[in-house]
Order: sequence, then C-alpha cells, then structure tokens
Amino acid sequence: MKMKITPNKIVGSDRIALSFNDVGKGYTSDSGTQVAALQNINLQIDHGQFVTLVGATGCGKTTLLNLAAGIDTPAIGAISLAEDICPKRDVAYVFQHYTLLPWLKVEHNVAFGLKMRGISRKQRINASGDLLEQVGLKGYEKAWPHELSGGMRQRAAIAQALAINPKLLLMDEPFGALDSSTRRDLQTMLGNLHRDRKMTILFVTHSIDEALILGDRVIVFSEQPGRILEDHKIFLPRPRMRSDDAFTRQLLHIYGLLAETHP
Amino acid sequence: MHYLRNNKHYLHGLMRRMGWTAIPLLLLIIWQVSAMRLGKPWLFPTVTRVLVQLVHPLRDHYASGSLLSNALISIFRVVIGFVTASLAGIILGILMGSVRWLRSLLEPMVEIIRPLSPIAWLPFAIAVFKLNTLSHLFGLDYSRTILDQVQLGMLFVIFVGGFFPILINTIDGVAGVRQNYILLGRSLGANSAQIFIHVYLPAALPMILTGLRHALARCWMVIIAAEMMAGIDSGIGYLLVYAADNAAMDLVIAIMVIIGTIGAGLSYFIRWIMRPFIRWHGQEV
Ligand SMILES: Nc1ncnc2c1ncn2[C@@H]1O[C@H](COP(=O)(O)OP(=O)(O)OP(=O)(O)O)[C@@H](O)[C@H]1O
Ligand SMILES: [Mg+2]
Repeated sequence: MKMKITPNKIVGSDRIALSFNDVGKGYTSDSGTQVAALQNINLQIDHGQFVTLVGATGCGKTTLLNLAAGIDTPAIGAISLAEDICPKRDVAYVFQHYTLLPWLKVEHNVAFGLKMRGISRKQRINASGDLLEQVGLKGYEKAWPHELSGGMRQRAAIAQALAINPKLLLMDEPFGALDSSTRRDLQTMLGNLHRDRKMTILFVTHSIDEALILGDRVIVFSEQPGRILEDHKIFLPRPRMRSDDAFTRQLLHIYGLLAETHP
Repeated sequence: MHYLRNNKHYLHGLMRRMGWTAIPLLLLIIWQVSAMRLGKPWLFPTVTRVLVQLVHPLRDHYASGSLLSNALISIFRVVIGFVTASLAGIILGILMGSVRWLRSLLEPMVEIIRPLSPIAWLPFAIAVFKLNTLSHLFGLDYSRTILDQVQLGMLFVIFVGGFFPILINTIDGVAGVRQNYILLGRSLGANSAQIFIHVYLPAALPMILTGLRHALARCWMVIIAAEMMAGIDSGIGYLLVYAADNAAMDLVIAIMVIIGTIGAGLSYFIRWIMRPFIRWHGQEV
C-alpha cells in the first residue's frame, strides 16, 4: 500500500492545520457487502488544538485517522493539510495495535524515525534517551518491547512518535487497554507534552471521561455510518477537574448523545 | 495424580538418557561383535577399524587427499553455493513477497522449476560449464588454491538446491508481515527502500531462517551426490565412491560418519548464528 499524499493545500487560512471537506468513505468487505464507514464529514482542526474523537465501536474513528495520515484515501470529498505540515515528515501516528517494532530494542524503536532521516547513530540514540526520560522510561533503553508492561509500551510508542517532532500527532485509542490509574498517569503525561510542544493532536478514545480531560474539543460520532453528531468545545481550564460540576455536566451530556444513537 | 505425573517425568528423563547412551552403545556392541564373527572387513568392518580411520583425518588416501582436506573442499563448495543462493533467494524473495505483480509474473515459473531435483541439473550444468572452476572466472587455468576445486557446474547445482527453499520461505515470510509494521515504518518516514531493509527483512527473518536451514541441509546432500559424478576428483563424496570401489569399507563408513556430523554441525551453526536476531519471534505485542 502506497502512502498517498493529499494534494489539496489549504490556502488563505493559517489557522487551520487539518481539514475534512464533505468526506465520505466506504468499504467493500471480502464477502462483498458494502459498509459505509464515514459520511459527510466536515471538520476543521486548528494548529495546536487537541481534538478527541468518541463514538461507538465500528463508527469509523480509525478510518478517519487513516485518512488524515494518508494511509487511506477518501471515496468522496477532500482532506487537506496546512502548507507547513509535510505529510511525510510532520505527521506521526500511534496505532491502536502493534505500536512498536518487536525486533528492535526500545531505544532503537524510538530512534527509528530519526534513523530513516539519516541522523547519525550517536545523535539519535541520545535523542531517544532524552525522550524515554521524558515519558518516564529511563532505564528501559535496552529492553525489548515484549518485556514492557502495557503502559510502558504505550509510553514507548509515544516517545517513538515524538522523536520525529511531529506537527500533527494521530493517536488511536492509545490508552484503551490500560488500567485506570496507569491511564490517568499517561493522560497527565500527554497533556503536559501537548502543552509544552504545541502540536496538533487527533485522539480517538472510547472513554468520554478521557476525551473531556484531554481535549479542547470532543467530536462525537454517530453509530455506523459515522457522522459527526456534535462538535463539542470544552472551555474548562486545565488541568481539568473531574469533581467540577461543569465537567460532570458535559460528561452526562455526551453520554446522552451517544445513548440516543443506541436505540 | 501427582505421583503419576512425576513418575511419567522420571520415565521420560530416563528414556532420554538411555537414548543418548545405552541405545547407541548397544548398537555399537552388536556391530562390533557381529563384524568380528563375520570376519570380512572388506564387506563389514569392525567399529575399531572405522575408528582408526576417524582418528587419522590427515592420512592421504589413493593420492586423493585426506578425509580432512576432502571434507574441507566439500564444505567450501557448499558455503560458496549456499551464500550466493541465500543472497539471490532473499533479495528476490523480498521483492516477490512485497510486490504483488512481480510475484504473479514469476511464481508460475518458480513452481515449474522448483520440483526438479537439483541433481537432475548436474549433467546439464557440467555440459555448459565443462569442468571450469572459480579460478577460470578470474581468468586463470590454475590458481593453485582451493578455488581450483570449485567447479562452476557444481556450484550451479548447489545454488539450485539452496535457492528455492530460501526463495519460497522468504516470499511467505514477507507476504505474512503484519501490515501494521509497514504502516508504522511509513508513518515514521521510511521510504520504500528503507521499508524493504528495515521492516520487511527483519520481520520476515524468522521465516527466512527456516528457509536457510532447509537450504543448507539440502545443499549438503546435493554436494555429496554431485561429487559422485564422473569427472570430479575431489571432495568427500568423491572419496566415498573411490573408497567403495576399492572395497575400503572402513573408510566408507568413516566418511558416512563425517558427512552426517558435518550436516548436523552446519545446521546447528546456522541456528546459533541467527538466534540473536530472532529472539523476539513469537513475542509480538
Ligand atoms: N479494510 C476494511 N475492509 C472492510 N471494512 C472495513 C475495513 N476497515 C474498516 N472497515 C469497516 O468500516 C467500519 C469502520 O471501521 P473503523 O475501524 O474505522 O471503526 P472504529 O470506529 O475505529 O472502531 P473501534 O472503536 O472498534 O476501533 C467498520 O464497520 C468496519 O467493519
Ligand atoms: Mg478503531
């Protein structure tokens, strides 16, 4: 599969990093049935924004990230990246599964992107060490991915993505398989990284709580075929407090939205 | 229940130790006694006569060199043929495994040629390459080195013997690489050549290794048979038929032991070399 680069460039706005215009995508399964994964997606994401996507399973969230990454192409509509975001160099993707290369030790996994750019061995191992320290994995440079716990693996995957210094970071349920306390630690870490690095993040999650803790905006998807039910902006100060009334209200509101689509 | 399982374990351990000691020893004793009773060493030599041959690996036989020198010549031939087959098989295998149209284009031909026994190629190869050696490749008739002993025809059949197992396993290994790893590589900025080297190759390495092991075992079988062909005057397979023609059955059996041991040694060696590279296998997370 070739990585397709969306030719459309956004002109006229230097605020928008990524934009979906009337995007639709469907699949034909091997048995021949047609599945509409996404319909009528219109979405503009600003530079530096942290956008979370929630929705029922199978509603097309992964598909949307794949389109943004250029791994997949839309059936209709167009996806455009800002001029200053090179689709090959500036977009990193933390996948839902198999987030690390199993044949490389942790430090080489993190250094992989830099190696592809021809950075010298010494420099990239140094950089990888720094990043591992930032994500709390100091001392695990020489470990193999299979020797890490689930939470450590996700930390390593984040370090691996950050190594190429992305302007746009796509994350597909990165904390989905973790227990709640590890999950909260990683949420805090990611929030801090976003604050310090000013990158644009598109983050898929099943947890409405997580979406509200992290996002500037929560995009709520309908059940399949995925359409945008609501583009919910969050104006709560950070760090977000779960005990806050406003937080709880918004949580219940989104729960309600999603419940309505489950008849 | 517990008692039963322990008993079973104990029994298994005992059998394993016996398999390595008592059974071989018993067979050797039966061999020795019956050979002594038969008294026809040119037909069925005693264990001791075979051992005498084995502990004199440097003794010259029929002015054709010693056990050791002929074994080394055979190993050298196999190594050269095997290494070229590996390079060609792995490179073409990765290409065919990752580029679908190339696979469709070449696979029918591979499937037609592959079942043909490598040995069946030998008369053809000798006719084409005559008895030219590696030295001729470098423009010399004789280099007075081991290169004089490496006939191109023989290399060709070893190549054929090793190439197909490596090719097939590499194709399967590469075609089975998780799409995720390729996407991950691409998202981290790897171009096609880098994906080839840094994703397909390592991800398919466990399968490639399986191919290499099969291939090396096959090459070793092929060389013995190839060296038995007319016109060849060196190598352990040559010495084997020469000894048989001279009714030196003790030498024949000694050579059989050597061939078996080298075969096992090669297989172990390649596993040992490759083990660090595939330690991750089966641990994907
Ligand atoms: N390669 C494919 N071939 C056929 N159908 C596909 C393919 N990829 C996705 N689909 C279908 O498209 C729909 C959306 O899939 P997608 O993976 O985007 O869902 P998702 O929202 O990420 O789900 P989850 O939350 O479970 O990860 C599903 O119905 C799925 O069956
Ligand atoms: Mg998904």
